Amino acid sequence: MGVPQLTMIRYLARKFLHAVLVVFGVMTLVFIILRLLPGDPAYVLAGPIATQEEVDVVRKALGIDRPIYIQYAYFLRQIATFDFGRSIYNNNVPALDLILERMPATLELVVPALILSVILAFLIGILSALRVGTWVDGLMAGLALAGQAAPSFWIGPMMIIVFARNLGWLPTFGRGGLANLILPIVTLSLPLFAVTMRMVRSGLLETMDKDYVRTARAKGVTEKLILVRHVLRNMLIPVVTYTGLQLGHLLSGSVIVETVFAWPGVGRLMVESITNRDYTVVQVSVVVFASLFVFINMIVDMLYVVIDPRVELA
Amino acid sequence: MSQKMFNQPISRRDLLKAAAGTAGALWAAACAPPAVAPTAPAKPAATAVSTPVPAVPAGPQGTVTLVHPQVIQTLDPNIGVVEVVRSVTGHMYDQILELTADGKVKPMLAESWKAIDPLTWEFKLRKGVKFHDGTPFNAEVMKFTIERILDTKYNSLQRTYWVALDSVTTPDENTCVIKTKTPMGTMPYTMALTTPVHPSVGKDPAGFPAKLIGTGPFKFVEWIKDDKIVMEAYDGYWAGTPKVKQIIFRTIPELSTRMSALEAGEVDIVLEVVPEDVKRITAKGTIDVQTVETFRTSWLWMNGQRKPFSDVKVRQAIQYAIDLDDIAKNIIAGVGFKARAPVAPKVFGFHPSLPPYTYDPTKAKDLLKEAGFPNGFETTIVGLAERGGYTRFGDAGEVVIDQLSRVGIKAKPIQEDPATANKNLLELNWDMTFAGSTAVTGDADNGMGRLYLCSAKRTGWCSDEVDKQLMIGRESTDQDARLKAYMAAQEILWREGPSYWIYHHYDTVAVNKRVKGFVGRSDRQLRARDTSL
Repeated sequence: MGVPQLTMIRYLARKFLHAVLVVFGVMTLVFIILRLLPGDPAYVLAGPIATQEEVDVVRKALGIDRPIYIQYAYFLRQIATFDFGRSIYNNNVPALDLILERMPATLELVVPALILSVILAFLIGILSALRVGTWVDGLMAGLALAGQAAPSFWIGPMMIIVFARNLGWLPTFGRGGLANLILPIVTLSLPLFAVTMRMVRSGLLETMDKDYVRTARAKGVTEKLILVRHVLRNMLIPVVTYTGLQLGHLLSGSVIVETVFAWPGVGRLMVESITNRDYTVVQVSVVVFASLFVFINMIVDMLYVVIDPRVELA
Repeated sequence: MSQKMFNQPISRRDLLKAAAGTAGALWAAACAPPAVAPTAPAKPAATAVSTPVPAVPAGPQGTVTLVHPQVIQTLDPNIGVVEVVRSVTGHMYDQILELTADGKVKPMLAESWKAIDPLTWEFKLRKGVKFHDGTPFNAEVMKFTIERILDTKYNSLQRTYWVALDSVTTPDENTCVIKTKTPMGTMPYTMALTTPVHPSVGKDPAGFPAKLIGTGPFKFVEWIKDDKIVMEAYDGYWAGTPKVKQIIFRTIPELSTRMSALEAGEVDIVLEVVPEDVKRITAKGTIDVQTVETFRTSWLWMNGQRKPFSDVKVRQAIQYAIDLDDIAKNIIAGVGFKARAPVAPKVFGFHPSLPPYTYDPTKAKDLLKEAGFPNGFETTIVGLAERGGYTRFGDAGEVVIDQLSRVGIKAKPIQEDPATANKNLLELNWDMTFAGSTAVTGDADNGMGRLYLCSAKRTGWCSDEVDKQLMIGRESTDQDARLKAYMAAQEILWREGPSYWIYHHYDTVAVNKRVKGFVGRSDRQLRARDTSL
């Protein structure tokens, strides 16, 4: 037991170090990109009717009148002490607080959307594959195409108009009870559901033609067991990889959904911060999102080992 | 997903059952009535009407929900002039003087005021006013509030209104005397912006939200960022307990969502309704739309520092080349009306009788020829970002570009994101720009003094004569003399033409008819203090 455990720890340690380096790299890149962007947060903060004196006062208060390498040195010190700075635009509130207090709202949409779309994708994907060529398959293909093609900034308002304004079944906007969750989650999960469902379907069809499936059939294994033991497990790797990556895309997709449904999440904060050149908030949200991305990828990598015994920790 | 799941056999029937179950659950959830009523009662209109109206109302009742498109970054009333912040805090706080819905100044926390001499103002404060926690409001609080605005650490944008301040003294508990270094004719309008805060708030704006204690008719209950702010009636309010029990402000950035929420009866009062929606939302008869003249004016500036706009003939040519009737009819109908001056008619100092430039392309071409541009010239226009919606600079810009091209001026539109646009605007890095401004105090010093003084460096054009008049306007404590000075300044601006005034804005506010007594305001604030249900 000692050797595999040691391998695991070494593997995890290396992965973790990798992750830290990636996140640090992303942070530095974002730091540079933000400052290369034209526009100046002082002007945004001072507002369009400000005088030059007002702008100068603001710029000094923000410390952005200093040379960029000094700003970077401050930035490094902040990271080292886990003090991510204060929001330029939100009255000096610590940037990390702004993000953390909005995180639950975003996760409340993203996590159920992920679970819902994956479950439905598997159920309907398998159904389509088993009924390949029938009207069920055709209908689902059409649904998937629509789900992929229709952007959420269109689906969202349509859902609001139909289910909230006209039928009055659900609230139009805002965070609140369970009923408030339905429209945004459905809007958010539709594109992911569509793609994953198609992947499950084609993965199944492809695997079902493989030699080992034919062998299993020849041995007299039931179709049920073939599906679960041989087919599903072998087509899982691409689906898991894709779903892991999609969690990141769900987070970014939440930007639109949060705006449409007036949902108080991180996505909206991020967009506003970019428009306002609120450097610290953008930096911290990128750190949080990048860390999430890297963390999910680590989990996906480890899932490979569970799914496919041929994959080894190296 | 654990390994176990994949090892257990799943029958096709199980799969189908699960699928049907999930779909059924979703459907049931979709059909069910909202589990939690969003904010206001689901059918407010019906319940409000069916409740018998008692002859003597038994205290404050019901909830009024207002929606503002802007995101709220702070609830500190003295740090900036952002409309949404003033709208929200306007319910929890009072000002020293009140700016009425149509822009007049009247007593509020100060019962009377006068200029003892050009450099000294005296304010007599209302007695018996208490903050929500019982702390009395007095002259010391007023002094603290003004000094807080002036503290450089606090970094308030309102500080610029107070540059002339010398000292604040409090001869007795209800008297506040303000001395200025130079005369400050804008004092009453500035006092209508000045919002006394609880003496326990520090000067660090970050610590502010924890201490929302005002003297206004509503008490702070909770603030969920980017979502809502809840307030409830304060029974100790000096002007009488409000009739509404609860005021809620919600943030909905998306226009179509705002409209849907209004039509579904989830919210009561919505700002910035676009004209295209008016017919639909008023069709059912439950919603009223108020159109209010605001303090906001939009214009096309020509950078007088740059050639060829440094030539008055070129500027005048542009004035003649644009057909404002066309823009008024086809672009801004419903959101604004033809501008006649650099400040809106409701602003103190507005010039009512400047003759508008007529649309005359031939004269424009002649003027260009005289200026040495018989074939016109090439230039650029910025500030065209918004299409539809409220300012419509993008739409107006296309018409202007087309009209200018007919006299030989080829103007290329340039698109910039807000941060870049603001920077370039303030650094005078542009040829022509669409821009607009709300004279937040309702006074021409805010609408003109900030923009057209040489020291403001905003339009690229300025003159000593305009500066002289604007300074009289800023400093004179004689309101008639101020008015005369602003007239003179506007006449020069009209003649010299550095700015093509396009439109004075309306605000279109949709109000659910169950809310009584709501009045839209020229300063673009939403105020439901005096409403009832």
